[in-house]
Amino acid sequence: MIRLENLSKIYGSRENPIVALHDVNLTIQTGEFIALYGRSGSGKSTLLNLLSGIDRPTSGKIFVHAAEVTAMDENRLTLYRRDTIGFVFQFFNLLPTLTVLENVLLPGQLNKHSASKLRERGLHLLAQLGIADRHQAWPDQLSGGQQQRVAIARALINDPQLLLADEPTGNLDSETGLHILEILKSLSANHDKTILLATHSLDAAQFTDRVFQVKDGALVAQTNKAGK
Amino acid sequence: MLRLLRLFNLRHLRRKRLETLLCLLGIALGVAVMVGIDLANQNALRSFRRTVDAVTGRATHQILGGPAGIPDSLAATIISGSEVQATPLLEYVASARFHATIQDTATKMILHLLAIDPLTDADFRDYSIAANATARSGSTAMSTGLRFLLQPGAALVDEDFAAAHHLKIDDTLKVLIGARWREIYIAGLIPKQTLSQSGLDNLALVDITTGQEIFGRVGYVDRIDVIASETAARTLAAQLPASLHLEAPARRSQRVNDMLRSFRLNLMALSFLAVFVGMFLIYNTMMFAVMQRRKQIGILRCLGVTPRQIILNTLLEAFGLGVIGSLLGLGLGVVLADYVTRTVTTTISDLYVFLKVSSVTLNSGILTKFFLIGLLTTLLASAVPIIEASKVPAAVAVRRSALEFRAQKFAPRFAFAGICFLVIAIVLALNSIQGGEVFGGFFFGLAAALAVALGAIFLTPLLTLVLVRFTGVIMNKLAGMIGVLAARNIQTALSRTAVAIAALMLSLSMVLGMGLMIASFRGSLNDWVKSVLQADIYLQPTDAATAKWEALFPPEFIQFLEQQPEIDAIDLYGATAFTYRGQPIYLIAISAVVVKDRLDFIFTQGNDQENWQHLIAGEVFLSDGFARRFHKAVGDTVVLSTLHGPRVFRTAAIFVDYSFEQGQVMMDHRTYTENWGASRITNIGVFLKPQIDFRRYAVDLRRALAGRFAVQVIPNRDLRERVFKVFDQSFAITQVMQILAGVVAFIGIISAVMSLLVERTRELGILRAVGMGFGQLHQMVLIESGLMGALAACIAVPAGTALALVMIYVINLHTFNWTINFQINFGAYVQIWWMALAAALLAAIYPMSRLKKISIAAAIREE
Ligand SMILES: Nc1ncnc2c1ncn2[C@@H]1O[C@H](COP(=O)(O)OP(=O)(O)O)[C@@H](O)[C@H]1O
Ligand SMILES: [Mg+2]
Repeated sequence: MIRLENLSKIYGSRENPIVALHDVNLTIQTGEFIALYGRSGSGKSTLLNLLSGIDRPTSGKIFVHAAEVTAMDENRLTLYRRDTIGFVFQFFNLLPTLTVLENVLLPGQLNKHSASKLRERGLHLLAQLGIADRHQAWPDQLSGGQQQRVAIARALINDPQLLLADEPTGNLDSETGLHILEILKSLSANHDKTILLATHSLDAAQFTDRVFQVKDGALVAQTNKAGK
Repeated sequence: MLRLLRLFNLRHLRRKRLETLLCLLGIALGVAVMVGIDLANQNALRSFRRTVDAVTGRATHQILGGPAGIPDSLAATIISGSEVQATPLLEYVASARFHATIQDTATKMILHLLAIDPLTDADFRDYSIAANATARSGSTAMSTGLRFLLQPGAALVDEDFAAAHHLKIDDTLKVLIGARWREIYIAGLIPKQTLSQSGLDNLALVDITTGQEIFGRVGYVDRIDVIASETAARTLAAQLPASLHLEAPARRSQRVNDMLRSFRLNLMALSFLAVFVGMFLIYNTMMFAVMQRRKQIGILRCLGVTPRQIILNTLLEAFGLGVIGSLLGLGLGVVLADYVTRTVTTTISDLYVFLKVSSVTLNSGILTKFFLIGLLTTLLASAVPIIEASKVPAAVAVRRSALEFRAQKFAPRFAFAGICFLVIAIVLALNSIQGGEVFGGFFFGLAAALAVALGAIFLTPLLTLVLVRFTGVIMNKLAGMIGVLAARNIQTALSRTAVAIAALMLSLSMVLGMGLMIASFRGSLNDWVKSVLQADIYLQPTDAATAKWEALFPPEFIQFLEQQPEIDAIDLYGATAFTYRGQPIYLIAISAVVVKDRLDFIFTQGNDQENWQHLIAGEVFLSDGFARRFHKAVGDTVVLSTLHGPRVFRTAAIFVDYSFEQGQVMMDHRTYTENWGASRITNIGVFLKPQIDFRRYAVDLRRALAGRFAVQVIPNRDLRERVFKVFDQSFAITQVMQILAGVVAFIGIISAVMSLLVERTRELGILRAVGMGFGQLHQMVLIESGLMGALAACIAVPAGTALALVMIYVINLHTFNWTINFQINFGAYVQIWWMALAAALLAAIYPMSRLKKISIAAAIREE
């Protein structure tokens, strides 16, 4: 279970504040597939960044399962990011100096998992995502959709409970984007991952169980979908 | 538009305050190094030349005799018989004491003693007019001039010297000459004005009779100064007897220059290095500053700013930085010069001729020169990358990978150029070994060393790629993905890392090359010391510190020694500065019968006993340096000018020697006396009877000599230590070089690591986002930096060894002329490894501390 309490994030100076998030309260059940829908600048990325411990809130609290993320020090946060969170970015953010497989294995290696098991798992993930044959390629030799699938594999390598996807289709053509969304949906359905998807496209949001609309840093509406 | 851009740049500078400061510091350090070394060199050498010129005065020519000088009677005939103006002269640099015990070393005074004939000298030297002046106060019974002329021991002392040591008229001074303290008294002062013009200081004038008496040269003068037109001089030269010759004073100055030749070459090489290091520092900092702005340039290009505007604007900024940095550097350089001058002066004083340590005089020529070099280098260093950056298509400039791809593609071509340079180095080295022109040889040798360095530099990118690929595998085993990332980062940022590695490699190679050369030299010297320095106790006149080879043992001292019952045998050693084919050499007279069975000379060929027999029969030994310099082999003849005109000597043997870099001709005392007059004894080796303890005897001897002779009593072991001390002293200047190399290494790596981190902010953000901790990030940076250090050290091992070989077998043999046997020295190799790793790890500290500042969210947001 994930709980956000009175979460706010203010950028800029005291005289010139930019309110990115304002007093957000939200509870998400384990295994849910949630969409944060809103236009550019509404605060979706900020919310995901806070949730993943990449950034810290100005006020408010975040609980992921029993742990209070907002109370963690830098070391605990690092471990939290490594073990509990998988992050998929709009611009893929693969490391250009590592091969596809190495990119996937990196978070696992940081955890000092046994190398051979890790490699097996990495190749298995790549196979599941349909790009096992490209595991020795360099990221810039892949198409956008392929790169995003590598990024998803990287996000999953440590078997995180929470997958955060920030506009994962924003840089892809609609067909490829659709494919990525289907992958996410199946992860939610078959692997019981909690997934938060930030998107500015209503079509993409339709893939999820619940859609929150984000506007000027606040959650303004919630659409519960039938079927679940 | 340009104004807007300028604003943009200024803002950049203000925001990157630390980077700007580093940049200024780099320029300032670069200029400082060049200015410091050059000022010091000029200073030390000029102060020496000035002294020579000042003593010369208006003389156009000098008449010189053999080592013993010119007999009085002959001098008188020449002076009275010739139609030109002429005056006799004796000279001595002595230490002096005032009212003090002889042992007192607290008040050290050095006096440049000049013995003149006051009646004829005024035409030559302004300051000698003082000897003719009448006392200023009319009440004095006798005029200063008369006292000077008539009273033995009367001296005129330079006014500044007297003031500095609180001396007044009628005070008595003790001066140390030829191992004995002599007395002079101050009869008058030489007015400041006449001296300051000449640039001479610490001067004391005595009458020629006094001079002959206290210098122990009764019946002789050193030389006769002459003022003559060219034709008159030619006539005069033709009339001189065979034992004398006429030369221009410039020759004397030149001879000293020749004597200092190898030292000057050292300094020259050091200046070259300093200029190189300085320019590298500036280049590196400016390159880094511009590189950081690739992205900004890309954006500006996208906004429609023309390349010309970008280039002009950046150069304007570089100009500003260059002016400020170079000015700072000039200030810093003057401070540095003071320190270096001291080192240089001490070395010259210890090894060649006595020089007073003078404060640094600023030379506007040097300052301007290096200010301009600093400024131009700054402009050039920013021009190259900025022109490159502004020319690439706007969109590409943002992406570093395009550039890196090019760099990797160029690596093999660079390597090819590197191999070409190495081939050139080999050809130059072989050519230099075959050709023998001394100075030309030096430049060929230098060119060979340069070619080796260039070869190593150009091979660096490819070697880096190859070695990194190797280490990548090892790194994976050792540090997992972190190690792999570190290795790949070096590979992908080759355009930056290769420059840093090459710079570090070059510094390390120079340190290694010098280290190996010095260690080999030391080893060879050690062999020599063991075989040749075997007497139990060595003696030297105390005034040898100032008067050098003019400090002689008085005959009474030899008699005293001969009466000592503890002594088994005495080796009387006399070194005399001499010229051969216009070049400075030394004539060495030894007690052949004494040393032939006691010392173990290292001969290049022949049977030791036979060699000695030939020497005793009147032939000569040549030092290896002399033989190489003048292309002589055993059996060849050498023509030396003697009192009886030129004489032919047969070479009995060639021996390895490290005492005089100018080379020497060695003979028995009998041979010397027959040809040049009474032997001059400059050093004595004492062999004690077997049962005598040398330590006890040294103490006894010192006690027996006290108050009678100023002689240094040096037990064998102390002398050997002293030899190595002098050796180390003569290489003291290379420490400056090592410091310079260290600075280059450090700056090179720190800027490379910094630029890697700055350019990879986004990647670092991703790494943090996927769960990399600070510890792991630090590990990565350390591995990266350490790996660069290790790669540089790896390449430096063969490069440095090659440099050492070039230095020993090319540069040394054809200029410094020592026999050095190359020896692998483990310590020298270890040294560069720890230098490299220390520089690399130190350089990582600051960049590591900056990692905390990276905001992950901001880093991954940008694209
Ligand atoms: N580092 C930052 N500094 C200042 N303002 C920021 C920063 N990051 C985000 N913002 C501002 O916060 C608001 C929300 O941004 P963001 O969360 O990125 O929106 P979204 O992802 O929905 O497009 C925007 O107005 C944006 O300008
Ligand atoms: Mg966003």
